[in-house]
Amino acid sequence: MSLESFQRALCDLVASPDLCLAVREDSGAALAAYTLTARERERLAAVVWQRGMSTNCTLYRSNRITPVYTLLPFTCRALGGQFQPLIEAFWRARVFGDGQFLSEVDRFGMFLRRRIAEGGVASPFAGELLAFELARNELAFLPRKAALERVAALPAPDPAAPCALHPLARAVAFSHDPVALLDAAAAGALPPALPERAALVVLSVVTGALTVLQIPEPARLACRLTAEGGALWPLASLAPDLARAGLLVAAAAGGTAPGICGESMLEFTNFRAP
Amino acid sequence: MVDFLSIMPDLFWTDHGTGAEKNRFVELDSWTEFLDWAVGRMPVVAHSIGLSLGSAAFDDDDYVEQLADWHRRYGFLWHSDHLSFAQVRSASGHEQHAGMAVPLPYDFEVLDMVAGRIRALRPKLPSPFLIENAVTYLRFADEDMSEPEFLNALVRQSGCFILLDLHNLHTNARNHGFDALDFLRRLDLAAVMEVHIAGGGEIAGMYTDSHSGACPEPVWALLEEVLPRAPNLKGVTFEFHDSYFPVFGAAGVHAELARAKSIWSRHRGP
Repeated sequence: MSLESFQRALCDLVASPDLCLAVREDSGAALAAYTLTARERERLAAVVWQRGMSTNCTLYRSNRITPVYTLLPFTCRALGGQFQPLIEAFWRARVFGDGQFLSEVDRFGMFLRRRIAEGGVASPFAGELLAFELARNELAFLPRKAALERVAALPAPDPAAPCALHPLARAVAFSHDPVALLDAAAAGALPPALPERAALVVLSVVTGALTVLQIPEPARLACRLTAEGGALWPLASLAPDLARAGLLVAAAAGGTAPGICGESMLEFTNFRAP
Repeated sequence: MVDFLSIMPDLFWTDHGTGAEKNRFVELDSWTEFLDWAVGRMPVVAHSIGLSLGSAAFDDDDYVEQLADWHRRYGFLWHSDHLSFAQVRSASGHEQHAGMAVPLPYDFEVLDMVAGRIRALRPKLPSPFLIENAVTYLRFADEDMSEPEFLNALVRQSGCFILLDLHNLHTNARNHGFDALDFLRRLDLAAVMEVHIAGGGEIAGMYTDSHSGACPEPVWALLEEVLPRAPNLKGVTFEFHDSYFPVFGAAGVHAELARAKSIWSRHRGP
């Protein structure tokens, strides 16, 4: 137990400059929660004064920020000056679970969604850029070969039959012009505001590269109505680009339901012709 | 130019964690396609980052089985991981990642624990197992033994070999003010099967093992020292972090490989 507790204390110190300062101030009190031998306690009380502990704290922060900044660059830009306090609040709330990039980013995404829903994020674009990047990341890490094999085994989609979004595609709702917003985010020049305009885009990695298609307005409205529990609509005819791009597939029994990633997180699937 | 490839298998899959109900390890198609291509052309070795062999409270049988499965698929010539820990149990009992490889005190208690874990691991991986000497920015007072003594004892007690990271050694020597050549004199170089070389830079007032570019001259000097004295050494790996590639470039990587190969040829033949 003692070595285990020593290692946990060391990890906690690396993750928290505040705890390091507390140990400097009063090691007995700051380390009271850990079961340590006298030698372990002395070692911890000594290492917080070493320059290397600052390096470790810096490396920890650098290593933990890297997944978020690498996989959510547009969201980080949209957050601007709020990014640092938000990521630090996230770090205080959640330990670095398994060290995996994708799960860390997903956890930060959930945290940020809650903050956005609570009105705690100033950027009007953060929610839709987060939804876009989470969908893009999810697609990037999907087993593409297996998904293509699964779809190849399905019958060809029939406009008169139930259909679903390809498993290698995701729909994302925007409340601003997606082209203008994504271009500005990519250029690192997000304006303070853009005209509001509801839009729905479909991201896909069916061809291997990421493609983004904007769904025509009638199809977007149909999707929303379906998602809100309304009637099912013939998506293939409302959004022929999706059908032509091979992004609509026959609905497989028990298949996963693709969702609209965005402000409402509503789900839609199995668009049946009336 | 490249005689063998060292891969980090952990980067070739997404690990959904010990709590995943099914499909815990989801492989990345584009990465495995590259590996499938490479194994037919050159020897490949595995350098994992997830065993956390120094953890006092961490065991992950499914992860070990995943590594073993990859050994069966790809026939890695040897397998290495690090003399450090990265996984602990949080106060609430959940897995907690340290965010970095955290160093171990070189004590008998730690030696017994790590040696036991390597002994338990070795039969599960069908190739020699190598432990890499750690980079550490901290020094623990009152350790039971020196780092070379610890490594030598670990080799004896566990049957592992050593992956001697010369940049880690250089980094530690530079930051903590000891003589790297003296370290080499005290290390059992017959146990060294692979050598790592790399470059680094300053962070927060210390020289770090960032794998950011060219090897510093002292690392080349250490390689010159080791090559004639490590009879079981099978390869030298240049470690480089791809995020620095736009700055360092292919020519930079090529130059490091060419220099390493020239030193190898001079001491060991082509």
